[in-house]
Amino acid sequence: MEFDKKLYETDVLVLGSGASGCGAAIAARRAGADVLMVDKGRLESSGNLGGGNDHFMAVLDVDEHDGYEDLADYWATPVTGMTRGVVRNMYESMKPCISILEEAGLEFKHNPDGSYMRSVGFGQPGAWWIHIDHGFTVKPKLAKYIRKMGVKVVDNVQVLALLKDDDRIAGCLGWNVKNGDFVVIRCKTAVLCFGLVSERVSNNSTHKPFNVWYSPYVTGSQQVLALEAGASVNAMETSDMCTMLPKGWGAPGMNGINNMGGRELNAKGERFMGKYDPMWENGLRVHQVMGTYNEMLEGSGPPFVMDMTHFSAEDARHLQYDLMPGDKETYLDYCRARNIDFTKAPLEVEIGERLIGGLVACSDEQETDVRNLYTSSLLGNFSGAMCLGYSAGRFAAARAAETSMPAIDQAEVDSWFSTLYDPLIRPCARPVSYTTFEDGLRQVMDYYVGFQRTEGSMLRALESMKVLEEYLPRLGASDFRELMRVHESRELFKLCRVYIQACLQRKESGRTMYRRADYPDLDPSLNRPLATSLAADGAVEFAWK
Amino acid sequence: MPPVFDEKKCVKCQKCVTNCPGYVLRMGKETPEVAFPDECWHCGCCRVACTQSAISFEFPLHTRL
Ligand SMILES: Cc1cc2nc3c(=O)[nH]c(=O)nc-3n(C[C@H](O)[C@H](O)[C@H](O)COP(=O)(O)OP(=O)(O)OC[C@H]3O[C@@H](n4cnc5c(N)ncnc54)[C@H](O)[C@@H]3O)c2cc1C
Ligand code: SF4
Ligand code: SF4
Repeated sequence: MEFDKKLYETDVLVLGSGASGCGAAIAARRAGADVLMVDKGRLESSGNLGGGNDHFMAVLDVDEHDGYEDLADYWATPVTGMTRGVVRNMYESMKPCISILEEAGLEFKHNPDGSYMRSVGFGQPGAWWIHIDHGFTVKPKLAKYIRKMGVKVVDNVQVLALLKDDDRIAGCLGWNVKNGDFVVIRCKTAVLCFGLVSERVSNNSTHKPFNVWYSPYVTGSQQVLALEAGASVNAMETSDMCTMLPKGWGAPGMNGINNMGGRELNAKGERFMGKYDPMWENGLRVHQVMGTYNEMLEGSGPPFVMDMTHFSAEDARHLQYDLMPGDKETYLDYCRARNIDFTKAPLEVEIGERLIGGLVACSDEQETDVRNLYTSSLLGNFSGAMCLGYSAGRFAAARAAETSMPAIDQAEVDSWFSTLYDPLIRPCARPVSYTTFEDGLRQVMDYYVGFQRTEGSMLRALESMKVLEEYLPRLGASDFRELMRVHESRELFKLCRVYIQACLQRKESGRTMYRRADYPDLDPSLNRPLATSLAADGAVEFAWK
Repeated sequence: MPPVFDEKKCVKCQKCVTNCPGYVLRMGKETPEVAFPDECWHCGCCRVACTQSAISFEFPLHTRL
């Protein structure tokens, strides 16, 4: 098999074309830079935004609790390492991003007086969540807008490594998953937008790893490639995410259900969330998931349901028929398959799979520990992603204007070229499929590193990870699609291994989507970020900040 | 099988195949096919891309249990 080599050059390289990448590309292009955006998917459908989004969070300075200070008080939490400076960037990008979305043709819902229709969510002090109409059209509309601006879009390229020139970013390398081309991109500055969290590391009740809440095609590149390039990552041990899913189906929607007044009931028909959060279902999601988990341990479920039967007919209609299909285009097909009608009977829900990730550490200007490498994908919501992408894109474009083109390390490029196709063109004698390998990974993560865990169980998990590691060289592929999955499996493995080591450092419970049975209480001295990095020999290092 | 293709409406443009973020579709003889049903995220991006309204959805067994 012969593979062509493609070389691109650009001022600003945007790594990932999800919500963060879209914000970054638009801002950098508006600032006059040459911008290239790369993604293993296609701009029109890539990332979590491809699945649809029905709410856009924004403070607008028009109501109570509706300004920068409120936003910073909520989001600048010591544990994540998110600073008030970074939150200010998000705040300053909110109004420009709303205008961009409207220019791109997205429609927000309005009240009769013309103001945006907004709801309270996630235990926040103000009504920050603007309702979106036809949320499933966001991505195609943004894609059209971005292509028209003259951003160079390189679709279908899986990035496998970031390239450096001394201490600064020099580009990335990867391959085209459709035609096999080897791709090298040289840049003056870059913005990391590969996603805050990854799926496929844990199971929901269906044990179908692609039937999940967030995009199953995002597999840890943000954290793994950043670490390998010498950047540090904050909060790997506290970034776990999980939500309540419609039973048997990986779909979002809980934000809309909770913020419009949905009531969670256990198997006894009791509404219980008041025990776990003063804002009941509309409090912190970690409280809803861990509260439901606790009810389950106490024998009060399953089943669990979200009851919307007390809604007005108009609210129930708006939720089921406007918001839910905006959040996931196929929502009503699921409802039809299960005969679901929010006005008539409660919706059965389950505790979904767990996602893991982390925030790439950065300065207030969103520059990482690697010079000229900026980051977004610091928040797991549409506006947090797009707005922080927007600010990162601005910073990256400004730096690019005063930066020369770096050199590429040809030896590193050649070494990747000679090995990246191996699972396909030089498979070992008894190859193992990515599905078998990833089933093993989830077996370890669910059993030893689940909602309830201890130091002993996590150390045991690391032993099992050594067994999985022996299988890495045996991963085989029979076509390009499988080769892409093999590279994803390798990355998921690395992500999980570092994650387990990071979790061992945090000896407390109460701040995360899991409980440490050996440290059941909150330790106030741990209200700070844990930074993870890799030493020159590849060993994982930790620093409390 | 998540997406189901209507042979009578499909004009074989392959827009759905190109727009699938999971690379789970491929072109068949009359319509596209779901080559890897277990890797479908049910995102609906294929249906959003189809200008012929040729795609509907059948939810797999595990989503009904
Ligand atoms: C269905 C759904 C509904 C949601 N609804 C809402 C909502 O209503 N409101 C809200 O605020 N939030 C919502 N969210 C969350 C929100 O969509 C996400 O937090 C946000 O889109 C994340 O954007 P991102 O760009 O940072 O990351 P991602 O969306 O994860 O994008 C990362 C991109 O990087 C690409 N990529 C990753 N690794 C590589 C690699 N190695 N090489 C090349 N490309 C790579 C991926 O293909 C992907 O396109 C929802 C999420 C889902 C899944
Ligand atoms: S997009 Fe529609 S018309 Fe085109 S190939 Fe797919 S199903 Fe057929
Ligand atoms: S629903 Fe999404 S993942 Fe499934 S085939 Fe259609 S585009 Fe692909």
